[in-house]
Amino acid sequence: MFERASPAAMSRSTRDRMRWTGGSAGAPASRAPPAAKRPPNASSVPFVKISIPIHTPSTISRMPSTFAMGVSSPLVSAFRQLPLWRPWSKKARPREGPLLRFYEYESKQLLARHGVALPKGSRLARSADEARQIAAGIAGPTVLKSQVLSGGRMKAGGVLFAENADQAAAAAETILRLEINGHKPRGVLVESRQPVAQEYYLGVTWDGIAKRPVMILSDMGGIDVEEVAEKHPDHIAKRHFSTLLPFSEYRAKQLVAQLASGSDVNALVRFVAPLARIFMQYGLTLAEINPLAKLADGSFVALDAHVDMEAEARSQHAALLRELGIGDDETRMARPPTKFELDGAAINAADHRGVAGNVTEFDGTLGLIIGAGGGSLTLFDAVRSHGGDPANYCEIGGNPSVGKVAALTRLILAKPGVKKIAVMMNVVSNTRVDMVARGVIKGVVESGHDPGEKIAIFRIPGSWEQEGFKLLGKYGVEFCDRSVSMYEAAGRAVAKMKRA
Amino acid sequence: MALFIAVDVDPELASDSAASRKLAEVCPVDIFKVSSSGALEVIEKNLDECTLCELCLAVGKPGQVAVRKLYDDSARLERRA
Repeated sequence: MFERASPAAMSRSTRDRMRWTGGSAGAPASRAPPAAKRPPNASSVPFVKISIPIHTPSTISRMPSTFAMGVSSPLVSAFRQLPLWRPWSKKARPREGPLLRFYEYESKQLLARHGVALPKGSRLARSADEARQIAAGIAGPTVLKSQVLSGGRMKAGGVLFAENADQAAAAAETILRLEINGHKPRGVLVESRQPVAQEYYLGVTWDGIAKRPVMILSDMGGIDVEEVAEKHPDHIAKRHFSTLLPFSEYRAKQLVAQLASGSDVNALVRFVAPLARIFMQYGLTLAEINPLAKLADGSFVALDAHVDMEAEARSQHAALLRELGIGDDETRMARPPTKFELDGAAINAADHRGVAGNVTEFDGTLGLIIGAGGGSLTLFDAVRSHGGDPANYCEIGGNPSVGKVAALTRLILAKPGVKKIAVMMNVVSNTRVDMVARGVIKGVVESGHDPGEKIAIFRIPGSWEQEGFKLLGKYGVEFCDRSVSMYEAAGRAVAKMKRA
Repeated sequence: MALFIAVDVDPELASDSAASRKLAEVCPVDIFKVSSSGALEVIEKNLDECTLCELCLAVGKPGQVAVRKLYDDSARLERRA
């Protein structure tokens, strides 16, 4: 009969992915990065350096990379506790979607198109019979892997080995019935099982600090690359590259030569170069081969692969997605959105004016209405680093209507456990301070609360701020202008929560 | 009920169907509406969306339309003569 893959023998990128994406198993608390520290001279500087200075909608999807690079952030830690950060649905889709996560078999199809060597066979079976046929074609030992968008495949029994076609069929039948973390498998990937001499890790992702893509290679593949980076930094090679210049084999060789020698250098270059090009060509946020195996005969194959595409790149690469069989309505979420998140998305969708209601739910007590070109991330980080406990992450911007902000405020206040809300943005020019103030106050009043009591802090400097400040003053809301840094404002909100 | 904004329209102006149509036309947030009977209506739920653009103030004679900021001691915005 078939045998269950042992943790040591099986591809480990599943585990990496689980951790990097905050899969259902989540990152162990002990692995959470330390909270960002306020610089000692913070009070004397107008801007406080926060750990994630990237300001794009895809920031969150790039967080695994920043984490891998050793960047610490409370926001990273917080988001990693979620299966996936941003909800959307067909019914009410926010303007900014999440990343598009590829199944392993899709990732491999993409790699194969660019000449990356895969194990023999490597085809998706949707039934036991199909698995038998593929295994018969391989004519040797096979590995069968459940195709789910979730970590923990191996642990759940979603990866099995078979010696012949009949065993492969039986294994496929078992795997196809198996639900992993609430996900039913799309199918079973059937591949030849080959003797591995050495495992490498190869990944291309974004470095949010350098603001450039970075290639990472390790000769300790198959295991957690973060762990390797921490404990065995000498086994990690890293190299940034340009988004403007064509990627050359020479660049790949510069990376590979740090860890490999002899004929392995050229062999590995044939994986590094295509992966970097695919990363750039298809608007990916992560392209990873782990393990990249050197077989006993000296050849290399991609044993497992993982690709995430920037959500905004979907329309640009519609043809590719169609060819891979990825439907327009596939959200590829690791978990279904919560009712709170769907309600927020519905608020956003109901009124075209501005953005308000693009929320992700947390378990805290401080509701956040935050935004301004990356300011929301900074503010979230700041709240966490002050010891605050956010109930949600919610960006606003683009001058939402009063009604929209009010509806959002009502939603956040209706969430069980929320004691106060903090309304904070960077300096805004395209959002009117007074309109946001009106919306928030209206929402609080309509929820039956006193704005002066429920709003911990209002820090939105910018257009029409004097009008906004008049309004806030009238309702007894604590507000501040740009002379108070975002970090300080977050601190005031958290302090008020602690006193409450 | 509106919390922040009130609008006063002179009855004489409100009875002028052309002026009423103009008010409905210029308001970017649909505070004014002309009913099927031709009467001017103020849409209560839209009042707080007022952007203080002052376009309505230009309709009619000075003082015939006024926007009051309820949060600012009912400060009046109106067209001056």
